[in-house]
Amino acid sequence: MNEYSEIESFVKARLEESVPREVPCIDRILEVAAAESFARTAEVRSRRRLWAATLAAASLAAVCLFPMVRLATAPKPESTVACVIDLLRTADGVESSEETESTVAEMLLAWQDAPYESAIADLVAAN
Amino acid sequence: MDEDSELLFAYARRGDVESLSALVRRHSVWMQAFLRGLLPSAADAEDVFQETWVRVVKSAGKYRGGKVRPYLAVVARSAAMDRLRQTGRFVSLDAEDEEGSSAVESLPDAGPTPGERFESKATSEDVRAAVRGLPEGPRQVLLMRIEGELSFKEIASELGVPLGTALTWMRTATLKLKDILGVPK
Repeated sequence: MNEYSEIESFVKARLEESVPREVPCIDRILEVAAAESFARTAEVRSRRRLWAATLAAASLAAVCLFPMVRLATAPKPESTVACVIDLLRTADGVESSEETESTVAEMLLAWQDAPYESAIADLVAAN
Repeated sequence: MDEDSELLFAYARRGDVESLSALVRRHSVWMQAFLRGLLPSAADAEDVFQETWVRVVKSAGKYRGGKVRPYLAVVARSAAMDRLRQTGRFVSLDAEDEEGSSAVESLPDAGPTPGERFESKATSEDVRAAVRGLPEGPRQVLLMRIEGELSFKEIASELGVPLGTALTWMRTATLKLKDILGVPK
């Protein structure tokens, strides 16, 4: 409880009763308020535009860089051929040790030469 | 959220000048009374009234809620103190501290007793003159309390003095005013 509230109320009422009821400089205050509001809105718009431009640039950069990154990280053609050979070999059930590798090579050579050898043999036999 | 806060937010967030206009009108009377109590002339009070609202407008984006009237009182007091500094009429509260504290001790205990009512025939001019005659500290505490509706804790924080000093200054102000304005019995 405020023991001085009566004095306070009295002083407050007397101080306020002689104050003019019209607001001083209201036009000037509202003019400043409108200008400030306009400036603040313009600042917010400008900040939004900057963000939008940054976002667009970042998106564009990502789109452009994606194929380049894919190319840079993609395996080279030679290694791709080696991979295919390995894959085929594995699919054929051939082990990929050095020993089998040479065996396969010999088999391939034999297969490649076979028609000629049999053709020569046929020719010799015919003569 | 109270109506004052809604009006201030409406201006701060949407730039609604009509809301600000309503807010200025709602707080015009007490703020003028407050500034007339702090400043030496009506012309100064009018200038600082405008300056206060310009400051409020410029810092509206930083308003984070809370009671608007004490907020406005703090801004108004700050603008008034700046005006007094500019015109070389600023009085430091440090100098007033001892005067205000000792003044209350020198006064007779004129505080109201239970059941006693305060009566006065003093006019507005008498009251304004009496308020202006108070030491700086008690005057500021009184005006911040009765016009700005700040709590004593907020007043002490704003003036940079201990809570006890703010309370003592308020007691000094009310006792002196009662002494000056009260009807002799």
